[in-house]
Amino acid sequence: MKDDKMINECEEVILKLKKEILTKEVQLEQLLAKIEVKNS
Amino acid sequence: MEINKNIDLQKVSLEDIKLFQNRGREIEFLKQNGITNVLELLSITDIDLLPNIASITTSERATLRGIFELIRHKYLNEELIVDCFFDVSKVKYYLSSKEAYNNISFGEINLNRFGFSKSEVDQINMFLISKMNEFTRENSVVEFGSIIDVFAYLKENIKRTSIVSKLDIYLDSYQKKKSQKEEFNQEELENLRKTLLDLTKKRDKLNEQIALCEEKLLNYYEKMGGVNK
Repeated sequence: MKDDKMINECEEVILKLKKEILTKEVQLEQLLAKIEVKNS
Repeated sequence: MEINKNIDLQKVSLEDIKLFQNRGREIEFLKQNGITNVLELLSITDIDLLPNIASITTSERATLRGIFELIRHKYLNEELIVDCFFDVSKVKYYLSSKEAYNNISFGEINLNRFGFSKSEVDQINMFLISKMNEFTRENSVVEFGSIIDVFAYLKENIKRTSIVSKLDIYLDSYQKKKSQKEEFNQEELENLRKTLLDLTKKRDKLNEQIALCEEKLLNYYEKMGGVNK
């Protein structure tokens, strides 16, 4: 069914976004840590 | 026992529901067991627990179970146990094959389980065989993705009351299930879209924060006269 396909596609995109967000959160933490060191 | 219809089921005879074949062994067996109306039939929990059940054949028992299930679905809103909505590749295979048909098979599906009696199954098969041969002669192919498609096709072409009454229940149930699924899917899609939007916003926000941090660090390095990071 068309809706089933759309649901699967949405779920795939959501999963990718969640992974991307996790990576970016780590990246941001590292950058903030660097700034912290430079400011100290 | 919760009955969802405002009708006196004691007054609804087994003949009234038009699911039994006239003078069929199944209806005769129930009458021998003192069951003459729908209420009495619904008070049974299991067809196999009826006395003398061994006096009828295995296929008659399967037919009775199928009809029993249809009645419980119709009057008690119970879910149909036999799943007529699944994909049946064998149905598609047999009906789309270009071979001449002298026999037809539903693969793993036993039509008795759907409440059809032996003579009804014979009639259905004969009808499908002749139709398939007709299609073969015309070199056209008919394909059925699932047993419910076969039922819809039979509904259009077979007029026998006891067959049509059963087909009606299956087709009606299928339509209801389909609408419920569509409704559920719409809600599910709406929720997923919302999640998608929230996550995208969160990702964009993170990108902004990362860009800001990078800019800060770059400024710091520039101030320090190009000291290596």
